[in-house]
Amino acid sequence: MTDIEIINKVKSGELKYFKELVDRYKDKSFSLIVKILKNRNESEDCLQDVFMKIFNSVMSSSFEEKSKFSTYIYSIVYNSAVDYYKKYRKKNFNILSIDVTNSNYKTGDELTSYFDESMIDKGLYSQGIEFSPEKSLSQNEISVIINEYINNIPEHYSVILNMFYINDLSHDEISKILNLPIGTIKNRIFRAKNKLKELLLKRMTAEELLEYV
Amino acid sequence: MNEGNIEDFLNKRIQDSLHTGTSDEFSDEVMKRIKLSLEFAKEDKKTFKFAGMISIAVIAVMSVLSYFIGSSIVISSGDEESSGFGILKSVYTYLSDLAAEILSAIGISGTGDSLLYLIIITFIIILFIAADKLILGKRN
Repeated sequence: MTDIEIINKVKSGELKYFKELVDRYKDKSFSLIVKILKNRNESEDCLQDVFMKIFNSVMSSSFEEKSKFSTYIYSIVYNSAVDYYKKYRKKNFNILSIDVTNSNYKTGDELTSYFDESMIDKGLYSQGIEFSPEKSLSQNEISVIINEYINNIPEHYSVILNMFYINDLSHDEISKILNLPIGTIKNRIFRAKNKLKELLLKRMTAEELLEYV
Repeated sequence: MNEGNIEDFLNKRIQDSLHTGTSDEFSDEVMKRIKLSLEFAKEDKKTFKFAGMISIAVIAVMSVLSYFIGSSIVISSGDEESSGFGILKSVYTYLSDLAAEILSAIGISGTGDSLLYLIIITFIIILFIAADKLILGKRN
């Protein structure tokens, strides 16, 4: 059943179909909110409010079918999370906040400046994995490195990555929701991925990495 | 080719790492909240309808009461002793005289009746607002 079919069912009073919509979008929306609020409980509260807003807009027919419903939902999700952040953290959430004149930006170190690379070793250690430079990395070790990197990447990157990889939004849609130039969106996705590749290739050769592909 | 494979690998692994799920009971909680909000909305609608009816009733009572007081004064003026409105008439005369004195004290020329009507209308408005607030207060 398509989103629009579900919406029409809900509008006609078949409320149970709204649960299908919630199930369809809850995890992908939650991933996005967590990147902004960085707290699971607050993110669930905020997401509940989001679904209440969506329900009310479905019932009042304020959603215009000319736009994609998923884009509509994710723009509500993003804006609600930012509002929640401003309200409870009492500060602005700035998706633009990248100092491109900073030398860290030029080298790409700005992406990893929020975490120490030794965190990767700590992460490996906590998983009971002992890293040795002589031994090639296992799948598990690669997962730890990638998770550590993604969990510590600045939010002006992680929000865009989430919208692109999890919410399946196009560069153009992300640019409209965030009100950022499309080039900036493409650039941040490229830089984030490139830095990860660099990080992995520091610990293994391209041939070793290809073994896991 | 290799570069393309690494790209695909990275895309897949980034996607896996970004993904975070809600708790198992999340959807049920949302549905519960929606059902509750619909119930509240229904209750609100009922109360609002009830408050509207009460307001109309209050307006009707006020109008009838004003008309009744006004006409009783006129009727009683001819037959003070036999009608039961003699006391009402003397109260009216007293208030009318008092109103005339107040008017002359502040330097406005006019009969006491006009000020008295003004006081009655103000009293009715105040009574109506108070009744309305009382009903709305209970509603919230």
